[in-house]
Amino acid sequence: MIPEIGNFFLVFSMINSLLLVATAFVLPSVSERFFLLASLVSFSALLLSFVALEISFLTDDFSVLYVASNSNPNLPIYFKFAALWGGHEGSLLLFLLILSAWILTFVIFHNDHRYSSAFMNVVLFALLAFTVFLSNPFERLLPISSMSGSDLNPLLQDFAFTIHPPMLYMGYAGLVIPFGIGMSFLLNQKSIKQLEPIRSWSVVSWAFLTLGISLGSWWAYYELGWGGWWFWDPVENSALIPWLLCTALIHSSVATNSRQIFINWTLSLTILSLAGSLLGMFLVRSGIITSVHSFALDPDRGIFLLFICFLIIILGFSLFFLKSFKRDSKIEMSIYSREFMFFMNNAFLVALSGIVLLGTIYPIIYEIFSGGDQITVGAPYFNMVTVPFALVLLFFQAMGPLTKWGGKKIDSMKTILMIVISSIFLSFLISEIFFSFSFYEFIGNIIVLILIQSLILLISKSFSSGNKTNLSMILGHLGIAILTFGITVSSLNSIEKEFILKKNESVSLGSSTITLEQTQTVKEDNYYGDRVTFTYQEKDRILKLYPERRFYPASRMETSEAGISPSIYKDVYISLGQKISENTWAAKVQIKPLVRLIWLGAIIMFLAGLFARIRVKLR
Amino acid sequence: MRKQRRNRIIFVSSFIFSLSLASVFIILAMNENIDFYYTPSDLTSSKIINKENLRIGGLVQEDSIESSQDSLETNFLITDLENTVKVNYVGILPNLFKEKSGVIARGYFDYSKGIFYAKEILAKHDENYIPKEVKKALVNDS
Repeated sequence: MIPEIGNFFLVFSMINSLLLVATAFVLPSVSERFFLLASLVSFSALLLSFVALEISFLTDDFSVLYVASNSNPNLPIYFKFAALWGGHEGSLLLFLLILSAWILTFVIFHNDHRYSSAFMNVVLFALLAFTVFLSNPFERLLPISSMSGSDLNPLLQDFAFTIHPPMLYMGYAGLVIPFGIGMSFLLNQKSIKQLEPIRSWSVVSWAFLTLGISLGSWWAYYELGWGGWWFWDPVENSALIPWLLCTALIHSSVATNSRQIFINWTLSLTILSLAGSLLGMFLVRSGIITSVHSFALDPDRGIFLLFICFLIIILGFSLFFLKSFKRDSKIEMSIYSREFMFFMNNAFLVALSGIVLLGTIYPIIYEIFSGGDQITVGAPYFNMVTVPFALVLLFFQAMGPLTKWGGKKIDSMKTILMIVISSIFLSFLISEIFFSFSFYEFIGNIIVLILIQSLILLISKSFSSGNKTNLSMILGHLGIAILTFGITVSSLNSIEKEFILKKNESVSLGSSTITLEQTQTVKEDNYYGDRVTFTYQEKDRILKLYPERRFYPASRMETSEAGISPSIYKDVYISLGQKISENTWAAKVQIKPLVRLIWLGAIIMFLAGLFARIRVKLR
Repeated sequence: MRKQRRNRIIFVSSFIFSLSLASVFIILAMNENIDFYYTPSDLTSSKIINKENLRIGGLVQEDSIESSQDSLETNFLITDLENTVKVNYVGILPNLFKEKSGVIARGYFDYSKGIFYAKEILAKHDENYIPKEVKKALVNDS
């Protein structure tokens, strides 16, 4: 009964969102209040639908096909709860719930929301229709119902799984708001002020995307057992593309708000970033490109997500070309002005997203044009191409705070020169003292140091002027600096070794010794396996690590749990390979300096984005 | 006015220049880092494939895994149910590497010895999943 109720509310919210769209365009006399109410109804119906599916999961109702294929009676209760978004249908439902929640929040906060909410509901309706007709999570497995259910993929049985998808979806879905604002502005151009909310909403969306992506990266880091935090895998790329576009959108809309420039550009970016997030959904779910971590696969139905993506692009850009904002767009831009910095920022961010997109979908293009030859584009391509672009981008980011809107020359050449020279000197020292010298590290650190100093300069300026300061911007950029420093140092200075050890044998790596102490067996409700104890000794410092090798009987899958000893200075990371014999194991040890800074930087960026509306007086 | 026009020309030409430079750079990087995918039948056919980076996929043949007891060396056969190729790999195997399971090996093929030297072994983290390429290899034969 409960799944039918859930299905009813799902269909109900679909009809409701269609009604909302129709009303907005057909009945201009209907008051704004109606849209608030309709959005509330959409959200409540989807919430009830979500709750119904959760009840089916928590009560092990295996007559529901989706529950049967994604859950198991032996799962701990919190995984049963999270198993809802472990597959294609359920994760779509979660996405829809979040989407409707964002629309409701927007409608509550903004008065003039007739058309913006209607455009957002176009997206909601398209995805709802896709869910109801082609990916219904409430489909029954009748008359034969499964007794035990297959299982939630063991790799998903992890704490990060309970928060990573919801956070990422918050980011993806949030991009519908700038889209709605942009579209309603195009339709009904009253004043540029209509575009102002784009900035805050894209920042919020960006904050959640940042958090979602970094949670995924952290999860992959410890779960997959390879100690990598980024693989340039299609699934990762398809989250990075909207992130880059959203970052561009934030800056473009800041320029639009403060100088009334880049208006058409901002509008295009609202369309592109939403399209990017839908394209990401398609790439992840269609299985069209081989990926290491896509779980909600469904090739046949996934293609409809591509249609929805094209629908949004066509809808958006036809409105854009029919009614684009016409205005003498002569911008006087000196290369010392902040306008120019924002221009470069946007040019490079969009170029970067294009490069990542090209590398990601190139295998598909190649297969079509070569008549079926299959290729993959390796990580070296992405590293080779994105690193130089990212460095240039960072350079403009570092210069940005030192410039003024409409600036024609550099005011404080001396200060800038000092910052640059001290950065070069400091970067040299850091490389020499802590790490072996490498060119990329040297350049990367110079730029990071310039960035940090220019932010400090900005803080001290606003301290003396007494003006309100956008502390969130400073924090966000500081987050990027920390993240970049972490990426540079950990990628260029990590060391690793693969080996076979018997009990009480040791192996040395760098200045440390690793010993296999003992092996023991572990058993839990949902898995059993071996736990091996290693001791890591470096001078007086002794660490114990406990990597595991697990077998999940319900899905007959083996996984390896890495043993990690984290610290802000460096991580020691051991993962188990094959068991050679009793008490003899193949294993891989990695030492990764400053790798934690990557996620620390990301968390700072998230917090900065979350509090983006707050301005403070420093004095 | 003339100065403005000159500036615009400089701006546009430098834009085009950097764009084409970047494109060339991207295409070069792309061509260097593409792995081509083949089946065991492709490799055992008479046509010689002269490429540095290859990926081959198929199933790990039953009873073909030979692991060394004191090193990380493993030898096994990859099959597409028609032809097999011997694969040599030194390193840690992925968790889901086992007999009769889908696998993709990245590396190069030594025609004189008839051995595929793998630099990397990939096995998908899902019991029911067969990589797209492997599925295709198997479908082509049946």
